[in-house]
Amino acid sequence: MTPQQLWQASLGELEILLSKPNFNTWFKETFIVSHENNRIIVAVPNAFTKNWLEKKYHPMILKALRNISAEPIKEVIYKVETARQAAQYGHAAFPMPEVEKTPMPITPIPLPSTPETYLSSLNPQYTFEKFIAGKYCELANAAALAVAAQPGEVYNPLFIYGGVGLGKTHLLHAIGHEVLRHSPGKKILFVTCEKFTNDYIQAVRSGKAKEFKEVYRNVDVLLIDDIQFLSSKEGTQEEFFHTFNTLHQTNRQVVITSDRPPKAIPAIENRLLSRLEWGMIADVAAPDLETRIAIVETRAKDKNMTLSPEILNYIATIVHSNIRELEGALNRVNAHFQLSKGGISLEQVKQILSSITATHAKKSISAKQLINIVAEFFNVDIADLLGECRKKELSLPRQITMYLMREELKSSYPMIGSELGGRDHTTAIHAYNKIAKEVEASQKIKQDIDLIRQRIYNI
Amino acid sequence: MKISCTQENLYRGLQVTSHIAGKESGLPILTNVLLKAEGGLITLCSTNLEIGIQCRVRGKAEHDGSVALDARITSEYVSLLPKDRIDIEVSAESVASVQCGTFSTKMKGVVADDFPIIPTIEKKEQTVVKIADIKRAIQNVLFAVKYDESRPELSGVYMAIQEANTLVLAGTDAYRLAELTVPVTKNFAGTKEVIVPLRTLQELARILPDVSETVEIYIHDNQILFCTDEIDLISKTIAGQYPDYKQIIPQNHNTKAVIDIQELTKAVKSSSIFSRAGLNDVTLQFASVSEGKGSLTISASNTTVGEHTVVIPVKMEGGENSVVLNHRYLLDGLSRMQGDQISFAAIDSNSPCVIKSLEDESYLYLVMPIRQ
Repeated sequence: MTPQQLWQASLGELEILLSKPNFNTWFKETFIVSHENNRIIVAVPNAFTKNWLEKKYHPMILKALRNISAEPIKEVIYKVETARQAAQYGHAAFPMPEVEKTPMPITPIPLPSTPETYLSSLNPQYTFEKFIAGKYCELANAAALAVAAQPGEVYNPLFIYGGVGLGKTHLLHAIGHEVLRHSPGKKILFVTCEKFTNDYIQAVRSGKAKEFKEVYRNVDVLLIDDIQFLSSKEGTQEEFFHTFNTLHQTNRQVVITSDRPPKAIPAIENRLLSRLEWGMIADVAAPDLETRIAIVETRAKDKNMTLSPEILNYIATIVHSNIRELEGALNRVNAHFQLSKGGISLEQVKQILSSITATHAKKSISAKQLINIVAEFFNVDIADLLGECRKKELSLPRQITMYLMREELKSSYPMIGSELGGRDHTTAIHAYNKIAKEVEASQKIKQDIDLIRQRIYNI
Repeated sequence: MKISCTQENLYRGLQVTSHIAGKESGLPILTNVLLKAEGGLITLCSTNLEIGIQCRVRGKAEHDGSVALDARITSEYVSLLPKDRIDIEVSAESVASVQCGTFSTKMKGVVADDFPIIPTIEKKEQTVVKIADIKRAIQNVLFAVKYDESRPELSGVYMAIQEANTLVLAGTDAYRLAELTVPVTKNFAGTKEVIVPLRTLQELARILPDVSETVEIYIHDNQILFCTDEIDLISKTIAGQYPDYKQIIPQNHNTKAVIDIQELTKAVKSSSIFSRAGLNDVTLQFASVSEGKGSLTISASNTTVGEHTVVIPVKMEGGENSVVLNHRYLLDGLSRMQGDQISFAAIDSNSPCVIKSLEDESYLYLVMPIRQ
């Protein structure tokens, strides 16, 4: 066990014994400087902490360390060390260079920021090599690759949409990297919609509209993340519209991501909408189990973890809708994996990830809530939804409710029937089968159902 | 615990200590001040875990003991008491019964056990400075410092005790730099350099009394302690090496002018109205008229407001020159110059300008031009 692990483990024990404010205040930025001859030196950030740990928590700390350490511990000493000094002990990941007496960096007052500053805002982690394209995002991946190979010539604009944590931003960065790899001279601008908006507001406020236009209209590839935030910002929409036109006319590539298809973005002008739908629209759906396993496997390999197929399988099974969560789960397992120096069993993994499974269980909602959500989504009264009327405007939502109750709540058919105004179980079976078929056939219904699902998960 | 003192003394103690208590801390006990009676002395303590303040309150301590009281409530309450004798008795349940004139109050306190221990350092290698001097230094240097998380060493004030029995304070935000040297009345034989957090000096300037006394300074183990008869303020210092700012103070100049402070201030202020918002630029143009005489033209123009030019006669040596400065930075420095006249030395439009008072050599102000 390294000193860091020993200290982390001891902190874990102390955290339970102390109140949260006390723990956070007194154990923040502490670490073990040395562990030699049964003597431990603990670094603390200031003299207050030193005094307090010595006078108040010393017996507790000693006990915790003795409980965990395999070797006997005779003495614990506290010493004020700042992070900078700590670097000398090799505590930091890489040793910091000695601070030399450098001349003062009085820099001339910089004029307002120049465009070059955010030309290289791409995350090096997000490349096509690291993107695992399952069936769920074949189209988006293929389109992104095509765009990266011939920017501005194939699909312009490319519009990628899909739920949270499914890799939209990853694809966006990957396009940027790929283009730069082919032709290093190209100007790539990656911005979030929020940054675009802020820049525009800033430009308007400080009378620098011309500079703003110069920045955005002179790029070869414009990558905009989360465009849905443009909704109901009219001025920014107009500016974006013109920016878009300028780029598009000169065959420069625009790639846009959003969490929903263009049509579903509320309060967006028609002329902009039609432009967003001009090129290629590709969706990224939630990955299937096989893809999830593949993702977990690759990421585990990246982190040098060797996990048994059962564990990979288990992790992929419990997190289903979000790749970010999937990586989060893996990171947690990794932390324990590092601590335990290898061997980790399926039981331990289950234990570590119990909180994830627990939150998922908590998310399960009641039949009443589900009915509410569907009624709200289709904008119909609950009474009508549960009533006898068989108009199409009501029967479809009703059937979707039954389908979702079966899919999401795993209710029995008789149960579904009785929840929806005392219907027969055969009605429920029919509704389920009908919608299941329609989902395959109609994109519209699939989208509706996905949106309702999101609402369910977001409760 | 049982103590008696005057309302004035207790209120003064609370004013000194309660300010740092209870700001942006995660630990609830830190919103309190600690009232302590020990060996006949009454003390008030507060801390935010970076700075610790202890203030001795004149009065009579009959029984030893301590209690932690909410800082804001207590100081507000004591400020409203009549200027009379106050008797405080604290029960075992940490309830303070306060009697003052016809006022009688019971205040709920917290057990003092959880109150952090204010660290102390050994009182050796003493430096003594007049309070008036250290206050002047703080006032003339602190304004140039800006809190910057990415450069912690620049977020504090450089403080150096020199063998020549002087104390130097310097601060910069990388655009301007202020340095003041003050005399030391008593010094150990040696030198010391530390970086003191901005907040510590702000607090020190706030709590030091206005009387012509002295303050003792001790520096050890990354900590600095300021002591007067009544107050102890201890703070951590900022780790790291302060950049060698002496290197950037220009030793030569191409133009050096002697300018009347009031005239210059007025000219810069009037030009500032016409400077561009956000940039705050005013142009200073030096031209020589005859041997030893010159003119300084201060101008600014802004497309929306208009343009403005003032010419003032100056004593000048060296050639023509032109610099563009941020008027705020310039005025910040001018307003702190002693006497009637300053010397203004410039090299070119991209090098720092040096401003000094003619009467007071101890204060130096350096400002960077705006790049054109």
